[in-house]
Amino acid sequence: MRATQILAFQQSPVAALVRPWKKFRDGTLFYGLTKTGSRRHPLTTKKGNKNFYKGTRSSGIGRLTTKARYVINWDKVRTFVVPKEYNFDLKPLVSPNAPQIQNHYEGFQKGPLDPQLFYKKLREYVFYGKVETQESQLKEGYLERG
Amino acid sequence: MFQNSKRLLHTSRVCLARKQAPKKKAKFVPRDKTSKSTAEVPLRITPPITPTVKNFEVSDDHPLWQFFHEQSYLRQFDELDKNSRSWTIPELRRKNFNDLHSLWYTCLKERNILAREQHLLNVDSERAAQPYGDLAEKVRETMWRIRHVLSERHHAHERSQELLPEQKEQILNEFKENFLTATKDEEVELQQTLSRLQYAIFGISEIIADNIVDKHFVEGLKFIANLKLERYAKDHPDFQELTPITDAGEAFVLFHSEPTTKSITESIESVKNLRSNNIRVDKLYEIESVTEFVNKLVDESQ
Amino acid sequence: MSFLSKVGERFKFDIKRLPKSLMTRYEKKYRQGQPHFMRSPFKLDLQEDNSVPKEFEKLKYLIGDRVMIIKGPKQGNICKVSRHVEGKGYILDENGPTSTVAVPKELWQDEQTSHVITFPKAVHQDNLRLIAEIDDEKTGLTKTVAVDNLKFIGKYYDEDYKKVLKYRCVAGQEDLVIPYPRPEPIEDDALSTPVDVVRERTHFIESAVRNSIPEAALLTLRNPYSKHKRTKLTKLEAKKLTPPKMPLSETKKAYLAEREELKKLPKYNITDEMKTFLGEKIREHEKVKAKQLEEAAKLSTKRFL
Repeated sequence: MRATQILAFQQSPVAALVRPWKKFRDGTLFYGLTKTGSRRHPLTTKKGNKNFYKGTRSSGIGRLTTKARYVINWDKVRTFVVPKEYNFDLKPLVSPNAPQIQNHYEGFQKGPLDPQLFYKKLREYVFYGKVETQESQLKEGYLERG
Repeated sequence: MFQNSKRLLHTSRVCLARKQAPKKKAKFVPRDKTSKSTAEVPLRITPPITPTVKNFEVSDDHPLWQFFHEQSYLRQFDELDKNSRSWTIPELRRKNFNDLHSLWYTCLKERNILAREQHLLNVDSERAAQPYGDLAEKVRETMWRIRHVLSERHHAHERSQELLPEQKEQILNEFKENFLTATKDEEVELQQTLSRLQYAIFGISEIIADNIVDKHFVEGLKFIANLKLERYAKDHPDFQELTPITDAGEAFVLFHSEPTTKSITESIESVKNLRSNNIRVDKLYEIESVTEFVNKLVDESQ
Repeated sequence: MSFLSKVGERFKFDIKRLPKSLMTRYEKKYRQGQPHFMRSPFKLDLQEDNSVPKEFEKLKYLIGDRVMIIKGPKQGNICKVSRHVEGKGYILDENGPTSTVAVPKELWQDEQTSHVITFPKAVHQDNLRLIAEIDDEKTGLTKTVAVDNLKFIGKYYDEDYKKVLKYRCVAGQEDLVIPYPRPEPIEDDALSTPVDVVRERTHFIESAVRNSIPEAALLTLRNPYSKHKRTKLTKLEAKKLTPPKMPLSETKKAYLAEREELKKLPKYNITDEMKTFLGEKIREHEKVKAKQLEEAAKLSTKRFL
């Protein structure tokens, strides 16, 4: 019968690093495996064992068949939905000549999330339609109700 | 194993049996001595085909062109945008979902282009790639702001549900007063306001196919049917008898009719017909029945 | 694409994390790596952010401002600011200081014909003073003055800069506002959306019962199962948060019972009679106390004698 490996008696990988029985300095380590070097590096695929899976957020979109073919599951593939009516007039940045407006929420404690403000806007829409009302207009060139 | 079984009478001998007949050898045809073989034809020396991009033909609508700015390999440093700034949150708050979605998509495409260019230059020096990265950072700022504005809008909608019953009553009362007192000159405007109110309070859309029938929808049907009766058929002899309309089927008939006294009177006749035949929609199955009516309308329009 | 990911960022060489003891060595190397004429004229702290700030109040002087040099070879000259450089530096017009240097041929620019070139030298912010025209109320004339220090207070919307700015005032005399120089008109760039498209309002709150955002889009906006936005506690969490009911001790029980009984007693307001009675008692007590103090004083004096 083969002798049981010593490692099987260790409690955990962490416990394996600690050596409480060492009371005196004799040149060997009290803790850890090495004394030098930075030990707080990110865990990469090069460092993990054979079961370590990290991925690149680009795999795992299907399965391998027994015939070594890869079947893609299209539900798992990242997709980008194209807008229904694509507005090509809007570009990623804004003209430097556009005024940098600020929003104010006078009388609305919760700011942009205030339900009273929500219903005020709804009421304006119902009774006046899609127009700028006096309250929602730009004031002093830069102030606007949010 | 098979060697052994060859000698015995065994079922596995079947495996060893030939399944396909051997292919017949092609008949030997002697070469026609009049024709020349390739070896006999003298070789011509042609200029070598140099491997260049020009040898490839790529159609203009190739999807990978989306990773290039106007089909150019690399934008020069001075071709890059320097003056513009990112969209701010107050500016984005003015845009509807479709606009924000389009903008986000445009930003994403622009970032793809920039990342490609940055990657090309990054090999050479990080410094040369820096302006491309800075511009991409500006675009990224627009993108997170879009997400912020949308989630803010969603939260505002969620929070507004607490006040829905009381606000609904106020708005409906105000509208009812306007609706019943309006003169005939204001008719066009009144119908527009009504269609906005339908969607605002009950979620009834003008486009029939877009509608989702739920309790709000059914409630709206009844409210609008009663309103129409009161405005266009107040002088009808059966007005007192008919009001208030509580049946979803009757409400649907009135809701669907044109906003004129004539067509409302016609609808009243059909409502009376329904009542005399005792056709009523069960309270428990209102939503299902109204869904059926709406689907019928959709089919008819198609 | 490694430049898109920030994973290894903290293991890269970062000048900001370099210990002070190694900085002199690094600075020496850094200066050696730059040709003499390209070096910054100021002593820069390499561990600080020396880039040109965007805020006007941090810039102090803007492009187009007239400034006076108060230190250096061109002391007393009045120049216009033409460019900002890192480390609070200002490049001025032809009246400002210049430096003449020899440039190796491999670094020659276009249209350069000689090894020796002259180009403007940056002046530090502290060695400049703003020149302003101020109306004198007494004489009615305009005076040209150099402002020692500036202060930025209040706010207003500037039509030309298209944003909210702070007023630029003379420090110590805040009613004197020195306006910013007018900027050069800027044209729209390749990626800029035109102003009218930006200002167009397309969003209105149209319904209280239908969300303006499609349901499928919501999942990409926020995590519905986010642990930060849960309104209900799980059973385990509730158990952890509520303290266990401990058995009461005998003394605690007695104390609580006594308090309950005291609560049951009727409450009285203090009448005048009660007040006089209490007052008398306090007076008597004060007399006794005074006597005791006197005796104590006598004893202490005796001890010293």
